[in-house]
Amino acid sequence: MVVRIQRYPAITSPFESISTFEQEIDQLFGGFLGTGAVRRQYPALDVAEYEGESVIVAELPGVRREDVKISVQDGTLTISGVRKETATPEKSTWLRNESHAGEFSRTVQLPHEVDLNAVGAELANGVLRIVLPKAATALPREIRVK
Amino acid sequence: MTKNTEVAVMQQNTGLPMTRPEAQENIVVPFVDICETPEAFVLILDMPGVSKESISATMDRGSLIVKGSVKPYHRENAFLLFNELRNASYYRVFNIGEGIDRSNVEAQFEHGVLTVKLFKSDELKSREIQIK
Repeated sequence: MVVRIQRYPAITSPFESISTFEQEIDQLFGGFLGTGAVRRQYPALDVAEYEGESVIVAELPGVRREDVKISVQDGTLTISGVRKETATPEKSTWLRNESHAGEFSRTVQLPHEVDLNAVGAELANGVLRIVLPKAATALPREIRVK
Repeated sequence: MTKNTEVAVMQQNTGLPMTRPEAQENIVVPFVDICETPEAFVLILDMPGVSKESISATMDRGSLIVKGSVKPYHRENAFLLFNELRNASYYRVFNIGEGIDRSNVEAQFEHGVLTVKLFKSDELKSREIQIK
């Protein structure tokens, strides 16, 4: 599912077109699962913007570095991978299960043009930080008035 | 972010609410998986963003109290385009019944996940009965 990022004021770039059809399907799917509350996407994440870059922070407890993959395509960024189940000895029973184990994948729209050569990512203590430096075209430029 | 709020904490298995008036900050209840093995109960708590030094797991009479504090995820001048993360301290209380050897508890923290092993005391372990 693609997350649409709202930017205010609403000068939308041509890269930001997610069809409303897709949004309706998302809402439908959420409602169909019962309670009416939209099912939370996994992994949960924040997108923070700074002057020269954006940073995506995602919570991925229990996921190892080698089990997560980040890919960028067509103005979107996808975080995917797998959280391996903790090994349990034989004859053990699960009494309660609240966490999310197994495969996951989430796609986010890139908030601006990104300098792909300078993207960095690190995973520590279950938190993934992806730094997306703004491409030269995305940096604010002063226009001189004659 | 609200300060000076009383946080109601549900005790596992009893459903009795227990208020903690000293809670001054936002609290997140970490997700837990509970697994029973022949020797122990294993609690797996998701606590991403916590550093090992700031975790505390305390066995206090019949309660296991797990706490962990996090550093802010973003710098001061961040403009959040999208915000789903709570970025708050973790806190959860578990009611530990009898049959757990309270002096024998192991805990490990890795990849943002805290694993607590509560070993069963002898009376809870299943024993084969010899039939003569």
